[in-house]
Amino acid sequence: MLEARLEQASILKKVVDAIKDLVQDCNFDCNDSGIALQAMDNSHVALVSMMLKAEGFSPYRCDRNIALGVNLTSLTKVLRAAQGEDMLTIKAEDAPDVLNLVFESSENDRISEYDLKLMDIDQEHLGIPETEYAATITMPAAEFRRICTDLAAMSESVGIEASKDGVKFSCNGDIGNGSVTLRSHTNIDKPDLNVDIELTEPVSLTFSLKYLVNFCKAAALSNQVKICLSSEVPLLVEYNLSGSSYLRFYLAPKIGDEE
Amino acid sequence: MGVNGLWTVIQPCARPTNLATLNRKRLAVDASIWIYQFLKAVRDKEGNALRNSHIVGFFRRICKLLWFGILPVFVFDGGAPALKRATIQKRKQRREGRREDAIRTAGKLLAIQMQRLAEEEEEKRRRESERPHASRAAEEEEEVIPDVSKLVYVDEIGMSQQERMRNRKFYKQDAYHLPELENGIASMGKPDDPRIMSVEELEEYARQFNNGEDINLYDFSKIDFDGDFFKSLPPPDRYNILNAARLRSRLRMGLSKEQLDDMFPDRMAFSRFQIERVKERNHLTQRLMYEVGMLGTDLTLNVNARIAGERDREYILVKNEGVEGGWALGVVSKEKDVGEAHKPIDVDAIQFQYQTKEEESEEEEDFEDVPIVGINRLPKLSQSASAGLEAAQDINNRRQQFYASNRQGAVDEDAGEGSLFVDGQLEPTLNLLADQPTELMHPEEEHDLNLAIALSLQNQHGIGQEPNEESDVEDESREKPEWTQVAVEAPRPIGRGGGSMIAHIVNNRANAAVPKRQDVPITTEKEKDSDSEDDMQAILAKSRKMKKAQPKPVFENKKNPFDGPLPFPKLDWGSSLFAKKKVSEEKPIVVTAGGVENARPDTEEKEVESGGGFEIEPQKEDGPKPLPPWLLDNDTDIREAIKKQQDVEREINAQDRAEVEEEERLRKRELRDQLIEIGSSDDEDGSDDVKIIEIPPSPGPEPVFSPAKVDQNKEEDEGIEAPGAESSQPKNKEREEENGESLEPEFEEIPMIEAPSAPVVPVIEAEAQDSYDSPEPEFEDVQPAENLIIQEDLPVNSVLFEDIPLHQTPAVAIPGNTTITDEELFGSEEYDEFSDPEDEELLAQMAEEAEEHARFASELNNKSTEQNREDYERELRALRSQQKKDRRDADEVTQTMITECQALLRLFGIPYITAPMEAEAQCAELVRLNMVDGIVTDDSDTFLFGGTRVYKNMFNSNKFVECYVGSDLDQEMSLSREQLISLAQLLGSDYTEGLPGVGPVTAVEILSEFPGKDGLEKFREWWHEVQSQVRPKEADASSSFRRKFRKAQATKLFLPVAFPSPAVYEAYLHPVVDSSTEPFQWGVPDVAGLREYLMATIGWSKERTDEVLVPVIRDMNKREIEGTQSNITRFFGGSVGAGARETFAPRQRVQGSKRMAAAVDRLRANIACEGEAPEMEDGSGANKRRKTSRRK
Repeated sequence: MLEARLEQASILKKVVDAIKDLVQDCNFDCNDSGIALQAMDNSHVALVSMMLKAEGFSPYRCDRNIALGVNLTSLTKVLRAAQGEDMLTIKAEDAPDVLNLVFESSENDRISEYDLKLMDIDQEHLGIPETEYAATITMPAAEFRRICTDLAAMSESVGIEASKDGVKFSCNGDIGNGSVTLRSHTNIDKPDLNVDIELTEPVSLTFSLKYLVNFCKAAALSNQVKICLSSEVPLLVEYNLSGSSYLRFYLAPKIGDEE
Repeated sequence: MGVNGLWTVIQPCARPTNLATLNRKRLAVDASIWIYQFLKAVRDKEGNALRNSHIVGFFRRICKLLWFGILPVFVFDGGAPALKRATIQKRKQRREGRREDAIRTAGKLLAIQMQRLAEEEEEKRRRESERPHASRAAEEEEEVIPDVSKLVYVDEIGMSQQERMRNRKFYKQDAYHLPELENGIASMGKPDDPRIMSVEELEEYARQFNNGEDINLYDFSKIDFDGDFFKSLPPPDRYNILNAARLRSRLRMGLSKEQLDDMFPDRMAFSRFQIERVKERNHLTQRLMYEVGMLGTDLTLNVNARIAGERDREYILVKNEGVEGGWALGVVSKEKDVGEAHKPIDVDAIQFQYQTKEEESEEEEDFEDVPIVGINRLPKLSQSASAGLEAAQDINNRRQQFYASNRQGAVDEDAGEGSLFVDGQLEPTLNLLADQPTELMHPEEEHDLNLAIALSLQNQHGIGQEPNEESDVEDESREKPEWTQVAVEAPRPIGRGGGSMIAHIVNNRANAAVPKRQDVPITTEKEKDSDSEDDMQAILAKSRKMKKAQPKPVFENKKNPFDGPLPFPKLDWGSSLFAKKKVSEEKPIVVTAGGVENARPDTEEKEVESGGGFEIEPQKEDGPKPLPPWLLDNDTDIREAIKKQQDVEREINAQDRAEVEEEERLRKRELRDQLIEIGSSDDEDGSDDVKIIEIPPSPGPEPVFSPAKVDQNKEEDEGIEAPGAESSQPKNKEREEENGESLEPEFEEIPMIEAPSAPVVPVIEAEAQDSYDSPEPEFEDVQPAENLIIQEDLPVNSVLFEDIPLHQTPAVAIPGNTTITDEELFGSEEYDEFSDPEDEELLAQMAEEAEEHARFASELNNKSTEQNREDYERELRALRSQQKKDRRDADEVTQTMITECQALLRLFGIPYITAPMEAEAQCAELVRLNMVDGIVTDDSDTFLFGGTRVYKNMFNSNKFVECYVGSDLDQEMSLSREQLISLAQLLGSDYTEGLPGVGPVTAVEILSEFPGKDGLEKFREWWHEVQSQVRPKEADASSSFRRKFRKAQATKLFLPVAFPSPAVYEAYLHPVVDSSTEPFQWGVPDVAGLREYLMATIGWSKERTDEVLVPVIRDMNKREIEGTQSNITRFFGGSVGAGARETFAPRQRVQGSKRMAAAVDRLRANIACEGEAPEMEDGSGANKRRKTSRRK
């Protein structure tokens, strides 16, 4: 039996919006610590990992581990029924056929209730090793989105080069090349605009911009984004949600032929 | 190939895989099955192998693999193991047996037919015997009749024997009776042998044949089907003409809505048009039926007989074995040919429509204009200036296009068109060179020369003006468009007439139409003046342009003459239809417009009159159609004329100009007097005149002339209009001068129309009459109507008609020039169709014969025709597909094919190995050695050799690539390698024949019923017991499977002596493989080498190769620079399952057969009981287990 109540339905809405272009069907794995999601895109290039901790819900109750196989497109349709400030309650049986979503409006006493049919998705989980990243960059989510979209206009891939001088996003396309360089920057008035670069060793990797642009759809979830790089390891783009909940994207780098 | 039905067994284990996830995977490709597939699957309709299909197939597949960044290793078959050879041998024997069956069925078929035949005969005999006495008596009498020659009738008493014989009618009594030899056998074989055609006769015959070919060119709308001439045609010709006319009447209905809208802005007009079409078609159909019913004895198509049996069609749907879901539909029918004949038409129409949109809209306008010619001009003039401007722009666009096309045409003349057209038409035309054209040319030329000289002396415009005009940039641009216009229009008119003659007519009309367009722009420019004045000026400008343009056209003309006839007719069809209607429709419009301008009323009158004239024209045209010689003559003339004309063209042009000027002046004067009537007649006359002028030049000169003609026409039109305007307004002088300059061609025409022109006309007429005997009467008829209006016009009109046939070729040439680019395509297509009429006929005849035979056979049988037919066809079909299969099986993979494929691989830089024995086994070994990451094959044998990570449907875009992991089979289906081999023993594979009557489900049930490694032995023992009646039924009562199996198979299934063959296990478990671990290396594709190789082997051009290769290589290079996108599974491994890391793919549960599912569950349960698998749960449990176990 799962019962979880989100104060803001919009959080789930934004999460689903951010990943529905990468993943079509996926399992929401619910256990007593929260609701987790892990899924790869079709090409197995990117991996989405979401964790909504139990603390983010009030109340949260999950007696047994439940996998909710959901078609994200369908879920989006249901979530569209939520208004901005609606509260969302998710309910499911132990061996559920449907996922019950209840939207309650705090302003009026409107209650809307939806049952979403579930799917049996046979999905294998990847073990994500704990990694000490060589470079960790924290920057405004909007800034990252802008860089990605700007460079995506030029080329298909972006080289991310982190050094002690800063982090450089560069691309080389048919029509020319371009780059954006960021340096550590602290804005006391608006800490959201801080750029923070932690570097243990210089790193340079190439990634597909198509996926990065996709990741940036999560920018609505958080003001800041954390980008973690290490050579020979997928890029981690993390958006922190309330509490210790997070939405993480992993993107496999482009590698030379020599491997 | 592989284990029969194994794929269906393991289907639930398939993991749909995205090709992109295979990026940078090393995959072993089982090349042997590829070649086999291409050899067996890629077949033509007859089942013949397409040579080099394997190279094309390899190339495509390799490109696809490379595109997805896959690193392939190709594995070729080495030798075949003894076991396999034995199995193949057995299979072959079985096939032989089947083939014998086929022969037997064929024999049976024949026997049945013979039997039916015999029965039929019997029946007939019986009926005859039952006949009334009278008839029998008659028969007897007949028998008694001694020798007819000796009989003497009462009437004949007193006559000599010879006289008697002569008077008596000859009754054939012997089917093989030959007529008496008149000259004795001795005269046979001599040069004057009547049975042998003289060269002249042969030529004549060829000419006729040629004409017959052109039947589609005729303007059927102009044919008077009630006319004596038509009736005098032989029935087959009549039928052909009617049939073609009827078919054509259907054309143009496929126009897009927009086009129709453009053509018929008025809804009423459109519906009227449609109704007219329906009426006409109905009329034609009735006529055709009449033709067939009453006169159908001789018709090429034996329609009567055919209809009953539906023999026209025979569709044979044959499954292409070896190809997935491939079906080939063969149509054998007489209609097929008809369809082909139609296709060209449709295609043309479509292509015609496809011309650049700008042109389309313009063209459509032109279309309307063409038919209306005289009428259209007026309405256009009356229209707003803006319309005129638009038209002018359109014209400019067209001009540019035409220019381009012309240039191309010129360049291509020698190579492209020349080759195509020359073969078909040139030769005949050359052979048929006629004296008439040359003769005509000369007088005209002389006349032109004289005029030109006079003009040059008198008028400064002539030559001097040209440069001036040319200096105008705008004018030049206009010139081009005019050309184009002419061409565009020309095709339409051609459609009306038959063959080249029609084309001539069309050209004339087109010319007339061209002027209209010109007029429009002109009017826009100078609307202030009377319309006629504007037109005149515009005409002048255009004419100037035309003059400039002319030189280019000359070159093009050569091409056009040849091309013209073919492409044009098709193009014209629609237009021809429209033209008629338009004329009728437009007339009212003109009338309305007429009130505004003086000229218009005139035109209206003219139109009305011309309406009569139009009708007459069709008749005239019809006349020419039947007369092939004219066409031929014209063609020949044209060609000759071309040569001559080329020389004289420039002179002629100059002359024309001068003449035009003179004529215009004369005209204006005369016109002033006769304004209204002349105007109308002038329009027609003008076009006619132009044609006349053109005629002498012949196609070669035509281009030159055509511009001139166009100008002339335009000028004429303008002139005509101008006269009307002038009559009302006194600005004629200026216009005249202008006209004179611009209207060069018109000069000739004008004189002809008017009294002065008369002298010229007579000559032409005389010539025309000479050439056309039959048309003349019609012409004369026509003339009277015209005469009513203006006697002077009459000659012109007649000239026009006569000219029309002559002009046809020139007209054709002109359109050809203008539309060369578009037409080139058409031309070639049409050419093909036209070029092989004989072949087509032959094929049609063959098909007919086959149908006839079917009918014949069915008649023989007493069965209902349908049933009979069905039986027959079924058998035939079976025989055919059998034949196809046999043919396919006869082909084998040769060493040459393998070497060719290997050469291709070398050029691609792809490593390949030749396995010691079986390629599948080697692939499995490579995976085991971790030399590759997976196997690409559609051969399920691989699993039995221990292969895993098998990718299936790699090249089937309809399906997901399916990945099969060996461990999945084990875990999900509880099918170990040994179990799979046991399955193979039951189902049959390359190494074993399997058990007859045992399918995948039964096989799995057997395995689940008799678990363990020695399951098959247990099964054998059990079955032996069952069959030897040792085992009581009660013993198996507990197992539903055993009960059912006993029931179903007891009398059928006999196990082979060595049923569970240990050799098979051995062969699968320990195949001969190469276990070298030397890593593979991938090179860079040799693009140049590939191009060369493909050129040498399959004749692909560089472009064709690059089409696919270059993007692939570019992508590869890009990947090299930017790096390849890696997969995330590379970094985050799955926790469980061998190969999960490489083949990470979600699986979708597919619900298969329930029996299968149950059997699999039991299998799993058995294994669980044996302790080979630790867990034992039901299906869903297993599913969950896997999921959870993989979760970390």
